Amino acid sequence: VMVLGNDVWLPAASELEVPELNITTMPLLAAAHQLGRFCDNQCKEFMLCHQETLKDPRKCLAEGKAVTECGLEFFRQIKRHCALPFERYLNCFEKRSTSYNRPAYCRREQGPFDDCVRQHLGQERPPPGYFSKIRLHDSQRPRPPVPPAPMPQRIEERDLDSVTEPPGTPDPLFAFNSRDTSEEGQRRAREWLRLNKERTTSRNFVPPAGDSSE
Amino acid sequence: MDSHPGGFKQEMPPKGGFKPIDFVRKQIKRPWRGHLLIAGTYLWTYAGITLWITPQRQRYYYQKQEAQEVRIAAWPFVLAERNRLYLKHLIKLRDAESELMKDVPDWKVGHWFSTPIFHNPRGLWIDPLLYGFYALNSKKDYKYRRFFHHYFV
Repeated sequence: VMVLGNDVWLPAASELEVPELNITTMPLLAAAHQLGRFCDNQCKEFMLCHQETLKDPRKCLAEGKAVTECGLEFFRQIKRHCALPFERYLNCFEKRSTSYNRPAYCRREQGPFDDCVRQHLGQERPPPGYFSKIRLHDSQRPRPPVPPAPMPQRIEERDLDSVTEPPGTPDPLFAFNSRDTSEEGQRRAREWLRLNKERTTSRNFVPPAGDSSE
Repeated sequence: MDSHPGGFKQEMPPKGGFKPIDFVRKQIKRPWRGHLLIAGTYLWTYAGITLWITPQRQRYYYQKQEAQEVRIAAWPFVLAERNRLYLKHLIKLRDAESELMKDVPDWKVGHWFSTPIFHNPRGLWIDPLLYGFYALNSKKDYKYRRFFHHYFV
């Protein structure tokens, strides 16, 4: 069910049109270690924003664009300098892929790729455990404030045992007694059903216009 | 046989008589290699554990961790793109809803006839339910997504 009304701000469609990282899963997973190191700061900023804004997709668009841009830059440089070693590594990765895609099965091709990246991009492969460990990030962006949570108003207590309704008050949840075989009861039932025919058939029921319960 | 009358040979003591009986208590001869064998077993086990099996297991667990790290490193790129696509689809849904219900009286977009769906005093972000998110898709698409976990992990 749609819960976004016109008062909820959604960004314009033009703001969401950015040059995307048009690659499939395999190149992304194959180059993930080097890519993660190349775009480490942008990734950390984006994930920090994502965490602090309680996973609001509208709030982290700028950081997301920075992440995609950095990824594009990385693959541009790879294509310019390191195309062949990367292609060999990617072929090995793709052909030996299973339910668990392990870079360990392609070490022979990974060596030249790592050397090429070290030579042209000037970065070493991150050490084992680099991405698994918790990494701290110091950001210049101030922490977004969490809106305050107002406590619901307290209902004053009443001694409900002393309060009684006047006799003859109709029960709002009682329509009629279907087991009442007397003529009066049956007449009452038939009349109620006649008056509330629309309400008992759910297909075309439209509730009457009233004030909202907010 | 002719030399054995009666057909059997009589058992007699050997020539020179029996040797004297040695009744003094003596120690049992134990094989002196036994300790070495046990010690060798322990040493071989220790060497195998430290030099072979432990690095083998570490390599296996490291390979698993590396595969997981690949996904951790690639996640921000996927998430950024996914959020953008998600917002594009939400815009499309909201526009479609306002267009569809513009002639219906007392209908507010994102509400049920002027009643809000969720109580949200803080104005937090709420995702629409799956059924509404797939409003512009076929029932088959919705079922494919709803029971995705039946076929994929």
